[in-house]
Amino acid sequence: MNGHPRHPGTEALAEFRAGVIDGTRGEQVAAHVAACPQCASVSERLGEVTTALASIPAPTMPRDLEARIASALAAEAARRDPAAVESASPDLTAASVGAVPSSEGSPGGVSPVPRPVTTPSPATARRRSRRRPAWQRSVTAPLGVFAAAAAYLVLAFVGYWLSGPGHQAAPSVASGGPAHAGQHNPAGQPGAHRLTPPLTPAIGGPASSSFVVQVAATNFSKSTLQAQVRQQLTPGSGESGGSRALPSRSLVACVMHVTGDRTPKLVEEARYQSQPAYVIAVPDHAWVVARGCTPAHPEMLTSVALASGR
Amino acid sequence: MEERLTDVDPPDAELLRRHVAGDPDAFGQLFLRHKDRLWAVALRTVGDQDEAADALQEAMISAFRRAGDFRGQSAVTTWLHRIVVNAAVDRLRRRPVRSVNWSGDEEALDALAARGPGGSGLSGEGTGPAGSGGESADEVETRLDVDAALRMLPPQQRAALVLVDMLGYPVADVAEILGISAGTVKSRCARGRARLLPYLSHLRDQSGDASDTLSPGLSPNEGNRPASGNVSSGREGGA
Repeated sequence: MNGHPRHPGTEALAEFRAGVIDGTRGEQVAAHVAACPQCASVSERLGEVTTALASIPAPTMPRDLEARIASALAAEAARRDPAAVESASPDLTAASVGAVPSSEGSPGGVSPVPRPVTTPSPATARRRSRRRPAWQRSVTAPLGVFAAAAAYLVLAFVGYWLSGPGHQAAPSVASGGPAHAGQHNPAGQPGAHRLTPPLTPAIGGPASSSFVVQVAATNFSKSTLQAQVRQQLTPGSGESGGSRALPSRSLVACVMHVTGDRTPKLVEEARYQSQPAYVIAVPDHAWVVARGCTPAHPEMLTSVALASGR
Repeated sequence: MEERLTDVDPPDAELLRRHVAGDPDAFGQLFLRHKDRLWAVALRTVGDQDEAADALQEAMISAFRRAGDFRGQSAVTTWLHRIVVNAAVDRLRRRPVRSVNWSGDEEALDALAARGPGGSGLSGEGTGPAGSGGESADEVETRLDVDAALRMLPPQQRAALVLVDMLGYPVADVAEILGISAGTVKSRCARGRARLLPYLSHLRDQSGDASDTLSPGLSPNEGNRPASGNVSSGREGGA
């Protein structure tokens, strides 16, 4: 530029101070400020703006706001997984179902989680105490036993019926309903004596679970999880090259907890995002859990709806 | 409080991992650990205490739900700060624009400062604004003045200045939080400071230095954008 130096604007001076004007232009500004008391003063005042801003003490969060947000987060946690929230709190009546009580004395390999200092919102506390109290569990669990027993009976009799000529007993047992299942043991039905009450109230029951584990090298990824699981559930898609295994007691407990006691269509020991994991699916939903999954610590990595997508 | 067998202070990334894995308490712990910093960001950016509280709560719930998307490419705190800043800036943008004709009048500035007591937000503690932190009267006044002045800034400039000048974060960290280049951070800060200058120059005058009250009208020469002296020039778009 030629001759008479013109004042840079305040903004330009600020930019120069901040180091965003360099090169030839920067040299010009520097030269001008050095020679111009007025602009030098502006430049100095710009520094004082920073000082003034920095002199304001940082606030601390008010206690009531802290409690409010903590409650909101606890409510989110409860909304996300009511069962996990419940099982994580030892003061709940989880013992009647034989569930592993929260984080105390946990078995090896499952790290207990420190309890935070937050208080659950009143809504959450009510929900926790309302959900499945002990007396309800002791009533509904045996009903579940009878229902499952009836299902086994029906299956067993159907199987017998299909394998042999005589099939007169099946309809009567089926129509007998759950109330009769435990008592009615029609004579001449060789299949009947093999039946045991399949599910006791204790989580983790006998290993005669209703599923087997597919062991495969499949790597599921978050973006394709839904599609991959759907494909696996498609009849005839048959994962060749994989093997099958019986689930361990803790895996059965984990799966039943995750699915909410629904029989899974798929339980696969595989990888998720290259991490070892189990993929569990029912017709309309799939979950991925880490290998250490238990009802108290499901270690859920992700979950996705299958029916219509998220 | 019961004793636990594991580490008492797991790192942020571990807490987030537990949260994503289904631990119902982990995110709450993360929140408690960083609550003051995140509150400072929200409050200084939004200004109004109630609105800042709402923005922060929204941000925390949003972070809770979106935690699965965190890829670990930045620090967890950087990610949290970004969510809070975005929520705070959104709040600011919902407000109607204030444009004031700045005449360089001392009385006008006092009026500006006086506008802010109830929702001024700079009290921070939720208690009375004046002298609650053991501050002198001058310090309180400064706070109120700064708060009034900050209201004049476009949201992006305000957010940048809050992070850099008020809270002292390094420019590189702020760049990561805001998802912009360091140069852009510096530019936003520079423009913000320039814009604040006429509002805050009276502070220096009060301290007795009799040098010129900076006239807001240092003429914008050299083809620059209009200097900050003319505040009613309206909002900058992208700041």
